[in-house]
Amino acid sequence: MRWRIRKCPECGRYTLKEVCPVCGAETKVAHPPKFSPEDPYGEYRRRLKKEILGIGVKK
Amino acid sequence: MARDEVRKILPADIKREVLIRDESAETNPKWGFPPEKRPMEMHMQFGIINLDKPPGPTSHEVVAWIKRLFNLSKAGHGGTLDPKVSGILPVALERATRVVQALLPAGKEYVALMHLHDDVPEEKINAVMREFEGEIIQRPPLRSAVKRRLRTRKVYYIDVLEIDGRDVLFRVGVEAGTYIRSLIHHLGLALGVGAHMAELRRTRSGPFKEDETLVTLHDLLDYYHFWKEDGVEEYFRKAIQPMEKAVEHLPKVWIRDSAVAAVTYGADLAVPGVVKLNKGIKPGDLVAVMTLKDELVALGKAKMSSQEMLNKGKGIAVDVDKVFMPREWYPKMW
Repeated sequence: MRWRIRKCPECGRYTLKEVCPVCGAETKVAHPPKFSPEDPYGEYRRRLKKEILGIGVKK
Repeated sequence: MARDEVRKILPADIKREVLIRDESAETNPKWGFPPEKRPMEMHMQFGIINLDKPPGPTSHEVVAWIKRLFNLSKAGHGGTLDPKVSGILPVALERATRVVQALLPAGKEYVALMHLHDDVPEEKINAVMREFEGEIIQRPPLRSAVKRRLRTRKVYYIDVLEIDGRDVLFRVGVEAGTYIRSLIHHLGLALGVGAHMAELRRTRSGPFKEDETLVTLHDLLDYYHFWKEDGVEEYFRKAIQPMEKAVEHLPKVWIRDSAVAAVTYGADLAVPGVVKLNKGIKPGDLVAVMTLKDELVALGKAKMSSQEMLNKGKGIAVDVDKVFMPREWYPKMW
């Protein structure tokens, strides 16, 4: 399904538009991504997230 | 626009005055565990997640996943969201599970997309939607847990955000138990063209809002891994709120240290144990019983008004219903 409700990541405004009518930032689909409890790519996602958060990889 | 800002409040937003009964009461720092002093394991045992539910699974499935992923024996959510609906789904864990009962009667807010079945001028849409603010009559849907009799529900506010042809995006604040799908159906009838709910997202449930505490299942699971496997606790700790968060909107009664243990052993709260309390409590109201460190002890039903609790010298102030605090946190003093 293609979601229509979008949200501005900057100011939190809800909109149907691609560009926020309040602050001009690019909007995103308001709903969080699908989750599977098997989470097949969790390891990859966490590897990237650790880099962003600056969490040292345990050897 | 200023008028709209003022209107956009739920009953949970109304500030409550604090009445002091005993100016001199103090709390012993050796006893208890205020939320910020709970070790991670304990924080989880008395925690509640401000979860951003993804569209797809039922609310029940989401709770089942959380129990399995985090090796929990108990968990419960505060107010079902239908499978396709996303947004705020508070999930209380382990010994905090029953705090959800404080959230079920709390006001909710949603962002909804209504699709009209024919063209309607924008002015008419705005005018008709304004008319639906206030009391409305609904009958619970066929697939519903509650008895299907007509009942009234309050719509606290409706804000039309955007109209794009036959699509109307709006924000709505409602009393617990208001069906948005049915509200939209009735809006469609009132507009004369018919309408259906194309998309829905809950943006608020009582004290839980879209703020820095809202967390997705992906983040939650990753932060759990960072704690368990990398020894980094801070992210998972922030992803879980103390159970006290779930009673932020309730009227409160703060009690002296010497009364805490008695309440955890099942005693009702007597007036002499009360140190301070919120104004405006009426007999029968659900109230949160708190320590002077702002820890939740129990939920109960008020047996007196605030004024009576303040002025009387004896009697039962609160009929204690659900105890959350462990008996060992405060010493027996009776």
